[in-house]
This record gives sequence, structure tokens and C-alpha cells, in this order.
Amino acid sequence: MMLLPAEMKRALLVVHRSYLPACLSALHETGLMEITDIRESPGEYRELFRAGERTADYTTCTEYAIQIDAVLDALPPEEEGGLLRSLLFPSLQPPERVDRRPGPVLFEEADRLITSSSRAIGLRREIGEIDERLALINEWVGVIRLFEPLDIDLGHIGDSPYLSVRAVRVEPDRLDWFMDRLQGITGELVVDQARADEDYLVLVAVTRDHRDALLDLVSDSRFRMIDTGDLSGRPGDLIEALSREADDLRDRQKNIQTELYDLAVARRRPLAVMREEIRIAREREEVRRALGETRETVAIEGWVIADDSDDLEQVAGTAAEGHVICDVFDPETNPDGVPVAYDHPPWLRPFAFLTTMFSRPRYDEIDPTLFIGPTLVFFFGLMLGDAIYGAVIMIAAFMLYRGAGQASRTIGDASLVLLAAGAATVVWGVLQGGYCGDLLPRFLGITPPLAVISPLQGPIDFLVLALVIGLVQLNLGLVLAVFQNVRRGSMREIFHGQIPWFILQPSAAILLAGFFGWMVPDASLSVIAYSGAIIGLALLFVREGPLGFFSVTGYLGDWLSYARLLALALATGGIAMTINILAVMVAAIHPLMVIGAAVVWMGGHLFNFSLQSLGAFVHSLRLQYVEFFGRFYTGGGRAYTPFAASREITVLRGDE
Amino acid sequence: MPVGMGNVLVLVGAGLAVGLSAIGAGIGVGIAGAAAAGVTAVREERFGMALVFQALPQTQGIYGLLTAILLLIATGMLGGAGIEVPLAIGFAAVGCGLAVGMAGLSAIGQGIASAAGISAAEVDTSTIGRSMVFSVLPETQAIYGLLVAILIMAFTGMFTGVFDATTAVGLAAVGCGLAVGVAGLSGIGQGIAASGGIGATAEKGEMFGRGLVFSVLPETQAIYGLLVAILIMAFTGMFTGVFDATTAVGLAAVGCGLAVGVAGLSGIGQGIAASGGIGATAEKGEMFGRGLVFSVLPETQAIYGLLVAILIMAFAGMFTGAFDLTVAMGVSAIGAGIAVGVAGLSGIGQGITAGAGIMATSRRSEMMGRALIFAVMSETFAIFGLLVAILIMFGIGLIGG
Repeated sequence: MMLLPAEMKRALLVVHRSYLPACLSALHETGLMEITDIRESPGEYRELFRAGERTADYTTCTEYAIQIDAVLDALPPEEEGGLLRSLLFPSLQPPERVDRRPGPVLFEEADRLITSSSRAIGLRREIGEIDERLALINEWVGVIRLFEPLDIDLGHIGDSPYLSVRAVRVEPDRLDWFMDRLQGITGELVVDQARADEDYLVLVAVTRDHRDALLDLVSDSRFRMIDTGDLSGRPGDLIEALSREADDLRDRQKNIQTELYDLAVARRRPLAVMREEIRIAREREEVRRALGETRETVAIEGWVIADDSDDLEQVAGTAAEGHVICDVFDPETNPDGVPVAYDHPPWLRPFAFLTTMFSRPRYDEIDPTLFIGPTLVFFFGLMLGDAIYGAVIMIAAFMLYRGAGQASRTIGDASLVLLAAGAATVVWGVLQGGYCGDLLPRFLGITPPLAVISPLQGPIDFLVLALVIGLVQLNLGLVLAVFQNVRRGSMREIFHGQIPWFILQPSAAILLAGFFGWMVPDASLSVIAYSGAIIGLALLFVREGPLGFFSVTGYLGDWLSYARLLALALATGGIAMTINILAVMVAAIHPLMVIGAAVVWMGGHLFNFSLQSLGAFVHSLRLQYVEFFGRFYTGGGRAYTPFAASREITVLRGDE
Repeated sequence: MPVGMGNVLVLVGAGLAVGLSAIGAGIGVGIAGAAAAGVTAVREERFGMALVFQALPQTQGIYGLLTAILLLIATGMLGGAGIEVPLAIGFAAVGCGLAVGMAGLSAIGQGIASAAGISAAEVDTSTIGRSMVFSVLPETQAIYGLLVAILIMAFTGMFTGVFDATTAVGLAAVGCGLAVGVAGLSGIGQGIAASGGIGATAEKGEMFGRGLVFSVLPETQAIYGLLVAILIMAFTGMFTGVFDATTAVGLAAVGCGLAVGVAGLSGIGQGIAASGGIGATAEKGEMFGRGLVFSVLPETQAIYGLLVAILIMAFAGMFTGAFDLTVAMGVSAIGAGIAVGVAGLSGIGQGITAGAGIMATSRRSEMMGRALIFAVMSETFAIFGLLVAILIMFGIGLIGG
């Protein structure tokens, strides 16, 4: 029943030790059970078992996973064709068929694959080293070029037994000052200088006695001493030799990249497949710590969806060839620990994310997806209300579903929601007469057929519709709250939480209608209405005290909040009309401005479509989360996470 | 060129449209620009991205300029011979200017959000798309303002050059402008919330949906403003062209606009609270529902404003078409609108308390009840405003004959 989360049962499987791998594998592949740690089991039988231990295979799996990741990281990344292309035309590869095989066989295969592919790591490292060497050569060439005007052998720079030679870069306005200071060190020096870009390069040679004084001077932060390292030879020869080396390195790098690319084409897929298999094998080893053990048996405890319990018994029995005891029983009464799984038919499944985004229901709480999914689509269509905009959404959703929707279930679900929202927008667009706003009457002189309610022509009718919809949804929320409280046996909560509103609403309606002069209630009706209002308020105030006042304003605010259905519908139609008016005004300036008008029209509608679609979705969501959920829903349930092998690019042979 | 009072008011309307929206756009672009300068100093390659974000709050300025030019063209003061403009059309032009100009101040909020978007993209460019969605949210207020301005122009014959309005309709247009324009300042609150959403989403991508829900909360004030503007148009015959409302009704419409428009500033408080809600939810997912409960508290002020606006409409005979209001009553309705509207600013204080309440509840869940009591204290002043508004309506015989 989709009104509540799926019914859950506790399951205890005791399997003979020799059948454990087969049993775990079957449970993992079918995903029929959430395995919980037996050490935290509420059952007294937990004392009979000692806790499972992490196996050596777990460590082996981890090591192989790290090695495979290292090889995959070394291979060049797959070429991606941009976001739009990957969404609409993804490259879909069928999953790789793999056989069930025991750990040692799998590890042997992994070992072979890693060994035959691991040279990718060395090649990637070599590319990095070549990059570093090229950067260094580039830096050296920059330095050497400074010496080109002087044309000296760079090997002379540095210290020799009798001389100390240094190259210093000096800004032009400090040159004279620098030369004066040099003369101050010693008169016996040799100086040469040349322009180096904006500055001067000054080559100074002094006897070894004056080396320290020279170093003191050039260590001043206002000058920059040029370090030539071990470079030796004349600048021209050096640059030529370095350029030759750089060319050779680039050729080598190109060859390595080709080799890596070929390796990637041959090995990326097998490596990715092996990574998935190792991950799955690791999960199976990891779960053993949660199991309980005796000398001959192993206990697996956890949660199963009640409807799956027969399948669980059958799968475990087949895998263990009958060497298993399977006990499925009702959980303890406290609903807090019970995990929550949705119980949705296929058409409702894509909407589950809306509930999850707010908070998953608690186990004993109503699952609101059935109410908010279709309502969100209905509100979205009502607020966007444009047949052409809706058709664009439907086309985009269809393309998304045929594209990335085939590869990803999340995108597939989202595209189905979008398709439904687009269809609702088309229907409401036709009913509101919205076709890119007033396109039909303004440009084609056609009165939109089938238009029954328009936010621009009849805003009051539309407002009444919006408020009626609001009342219906708010009261549905109250009814659901009553249902929930009856299930929990909280009659007092119904008395103070929901009944006051069922009394207050009709009473207030009569009093307000009389107050505004829309009707003249007869005396007995007035007495009933006044009595109802007093009783309703009293019930509220008895429980909440003075804060009951804010409950009244809060309810009123929640109701009026549905006026946004009109406001957003009006904004879509009104802005679309404004764009159409502007396009006409631009076209009227000059015959050639028709092109400008077309640009204004297209750009304007694209902007309006984007902004209003966003607004319609988020405001629909707000009405569900704030106004509707405020009546009955809190959420806070824990998700049911079955022990399931998530196979993305592989499929077990026989399970296709 | 004839320079009557109508022409003068058209010029005032054009000035309000372009001037006020330029203030908003200028401040918003400035805030975003400061963030852009800081990010570009560190990451030069982010220049183009920062420029796109900085351009977002400029659109409000463009809407203002567009409205000013349309007003001047419609009245023949630009590219025409110049014609004597009736006083009613002058008032309508002021309404257009207020709608677009005041709503253009939402650019400040957009600038705050854009600045957050720029900062988030400094570290990770994959945040740009999501940040852009958050940053365009405060544009909605400006669009509502532009929509109302265009509708006023269309319904008073400004596009066709056949002016068709009474003074009552002109004053009603001023009411519409105040309603949608001043309430458009809720865009600042929306920008504050959106910037929180951008920060949370940059840290945790899955916060996108929940962040959006929080960020649209302060749009409610703008929606109420738009709603009242449309109701005023409908009840004063702008949709049908049957202008039988009296000047007193036009004045009452100004009161309605002030009530819902100024009370709409509570949206700033709501934005502050929603920003706190986003932060708490990013830390603890289960705070989403509680964060929403706190964040909607400062909406009450807007509801009081809407309530008084609807009461004024009801008692001014707008629902029934029996316009027997005196001018004194119309002026008093303006007083009632000011009372509830300005008192609605208490929503900013309530938002600050609610934001802190969210944090306290996030730390200790049992704090929720007490934190709610702290948060509703500020609402006392809004209730005073509501009370005085109702007393004014009673005092002048608007309620109870």
C-alpha cells in the first residue's frame, strides 16, 4: 500500500560455514536484505555468536583496488563531448558479462591485468619528468639569452683560483650608483655591461681577495645576481644544444603519449570492469564483521521488506543447498530503529526524490509521495501555463530520457517527471490560452480555442481557483493527520490539532461571507457559526495558550500563500505579453529591424521560459513542503540500505 | 511643448523608474564587483566568469531605463511632438516608475548573491551553473515590477496613444506601483538567502534543492505585492476599461499598496532566517523541516499587510462595485496602510531572532519551543500595527458602517 512505507521484517539466517561465500554472494547480487551488526542485535540469541572478523581477502581486495586506481589514473582520460552531448547523446556501452569465480581466481586475474598494464604508471611518470626538464631548459634559455650581447663563455662565471666573476642585473636608474660602489671595492676590476631587456646586465671580475666585498654588494635586494649554475660554453652554442635536447624530449613525449593512448584503448575497460568486481568482492568481505559465528555456522541478521521474505528464504536456501535456517519475524514495537523503504508502483517511483529531499518518512508515518508527486506536476503546469513552453519541456524531457536517461536511473526518473510537468503545462496552457503569451491573438489574430480561464483576463476567477485548490490541499493534509493520529492512537492530538480547523473553517466562512456582504446568514446559522468559531478557538487556545493566536494567523497565511498560483501564472503570461509588445515596437522602427525584433522575441522568451520554469518548480515544491507538510508531516526516517551489489558496467553471466 | 501637471508627473515617473533602479543596480553591481576584483586578483582566469555574474544586477537598471523611455515615447516627450498629458496619466506614470524603480532595488540582493557566486567559483568552477540559478532568483521581484508597469501602460492606453484613465485609476496605479515596487525590496532578503544557498551548495552539492526552497521563501512578499496590484487593477476597472471608481477609491488603493508593499520589507528578515536555515540544514539534514518552520515566521507581517489591503478593498466597495467612500475615508485608508505596513518592518528583527533560533535548535533540538517564543516576540509590534489599522478603519466608519 503506497500510503505507508513498505512493511519490514527482521530476518535471521544461520548458514553452514562452508556455504557462506555462496550464500553471501546470492544475497549481494539479489539485494534482498539489509544486514545489520549482530553485536547490536536486540535478540538474546546474539550471546550465542562471536563477532565475525575481517578476513585476509579484505586486505587483498583493498590493495588491488589501490593498484587498479593508480593504473587508471595514469591512463589518459576518456574524451568527453561536452555536457549537452553527454546528456542527449551519451555513448552507451552494454555491460560486460562476467562469471562468478572464487576469490583466488579473481585475484590471479587482477594480478595479471595489473602487471600487464602497470607500465602506464612508469610512462606517466616519464612524461612528468620530461615536462620538468623542458621547464628547466626553458628557464636556462631565458638566462642564457641575457648573455648573448656579451658573448662570453658562461663557464667563466663563478670562482677560479685567482678571480671571482659575477653577473648582476641592475635597473638603469641605479646603474651609476652601482658602478660607483664597485669602484669603491677595488680599482683592479674588469667590468662589461649590456642591455638585458629593460635593465643592464653587468659582468664584474675581481681578484679573489675582493670576492666577499663583491658578494656583499650584489646581495643587496636592489640588484639581482644571475645564477648560471653549471652552464658552460658560449650563449649561441648553449641555446642550440638545449633546443636540440628540447626537440628530442618533445618527440619522446609524443611517442609515450601514443603508447599510453594505445594502452588506454586496450586496457581501460578491462581495468574498470576489474575495479568493479574487486569493489563488490571487498563489500562481501567487509560485511563479515557484522556476522555472528559459531564453530560450524555463521549467522546473518538484518531487515527484509515483508513482501521479499519468501524470495529471501528461497534464494538463501538455493545458494546454501538447504544448509541454512531462515527465520523471518516481526520487529519490536519501537518504530525508530526500523529502516524505511518506499512502496511505490512504477509510475510513482520517479517522484520519490521529492519526499527524500525533504526527509524520508518515519516507519509509522504516512509516505506523502502519492500526494505531492502528482500535485507538484499539477501546480507546475498551472503556474507555467503556456502550451508552447510546455511542448519545449516535453521535447527536452523526451530527448533526455532517450539519451542520458538510458544510462542513469536518476536522470531517467528526472526526465519522466519533467515529461509529466511538460504535459501538464501544455494542458494548462491550452486551458489558459497561453501560447508564448498572447502570440495567437497579437500576431495571428486567432482567439485561443478551448481557453476557459486566464490569469490576465480573469484574475479574480483565477484567484478563487487558487484559493479553492489551497483549501482542498490544506484539508487533505488535515485528513491525513487524522488518519495518522488514529493509527497511533493519539486521540487527544486529533481533538486539539485537527478538529478545531474542521470547526473553524466553515464557521469563519459563514461569518466572513456575512461580514463582507456576500450573503446574509439567518439567525440560527449565525449562532452556529459564532459557536463554532468560539469552540474551535477554545480548543486551540486550551492547548497552545496565547500562541494559539499564531496558529490562526499561520493557517490563514498558509491558505493565502496559494495565491502564488495566480501570481506565477500571471507573471509567465504577462512577461510573455511584454516581450511580444517589445518585439512589435522594435519591428516598427525600421523594416530591417525585423531581425532585431526576432532576436528580442527569441531571447526574451528563452529568458522568460527559463526563469518561470524555475519559479514554477520551486514554488510548487514550497507549497508541498511548507503549507501541505505543515499539517501532518515531519519525516526523519532512516533509509533502508540493502546489502546489494551495485553493478554499473558489469552483469553476471546468467543474470542478464 | 505643453507642460501641464500631467506632463510633470510623467517626468517624475520616468525619473523614479530610472533613478531608483539605478541605485539598486549600482549598489548590486558594486557588491558583486568588489568580490570580482578580489577573486580576479588571485585567479586572473576567472575574469570572464566574474564579469557575467557582475552583469546580473545590471538588468534592473535596464528595466528602469526601458520603462523611462517607454513613458517618454508614450507621452510624446521623446521622438514626438509633445502633447498635453492628462493628470490621470501622470499619476499612472508615477505608478509605473514606483513599480519598476522600487522593485529595481532588488538588485542589491542580486548583487549579494552574485558576489557569493563569484567567490564560490574562485575555488571550483563547477559551482557556476548552480550559483547562477541562485543568483537569478532576486530578479523575479524586478520582473514583477516591470510586468505591473507594462500592464498599467497598456491599460491606460499609453501604447496606443489614446489615453484612457480617470484620476481614480491614476491613483490606483500609484497604489499598484507601491504594492509591487516596495514589496520588491524583499529581493534583498532573497539575495541574502540565495548567497547562503550558494555557499552551502559549493560545500555540498546535494544542498541545491533544499537551498532553493529556502531561497524562494522571501519571494512570498513580492507575490503578495503583485497580487494586490492585480486586484487593484481588476477592481478599478483597468482590465475591463469601465472606470467608475471614485477618487476616494483611488486613495484607498494607495493605502492598499502601502500596506502590502511596506510590510513586504519583512522579506529581508525572512531572508536572514532562511540563510540560517540553509546553514543548519547543510550541517544536519534533519534541520530542513524545522528550519522552514522558523523561516516562515517573518511572513506573518506580510500576511497582516495583505489582510489589511484586502479589508480596505472590501470596505471601499471594490469587491461589490458599490463605491460610496468619502475622500476623508480614502485618506484614512492610507493611514491604515502606513500603520500595518511600517510595523511590518518588525519582520527584520523577527528574522534575526529566527535565524539564531535555528542555530540554537540545531545545537539542542529541545530548544525549539523556547526559540519559537523568542522569535514571535518581535511580532507584537506587527500586531500593534494591525490593531491600529483596524481601529482606524473602525474609527472612520470603514468597518461597521
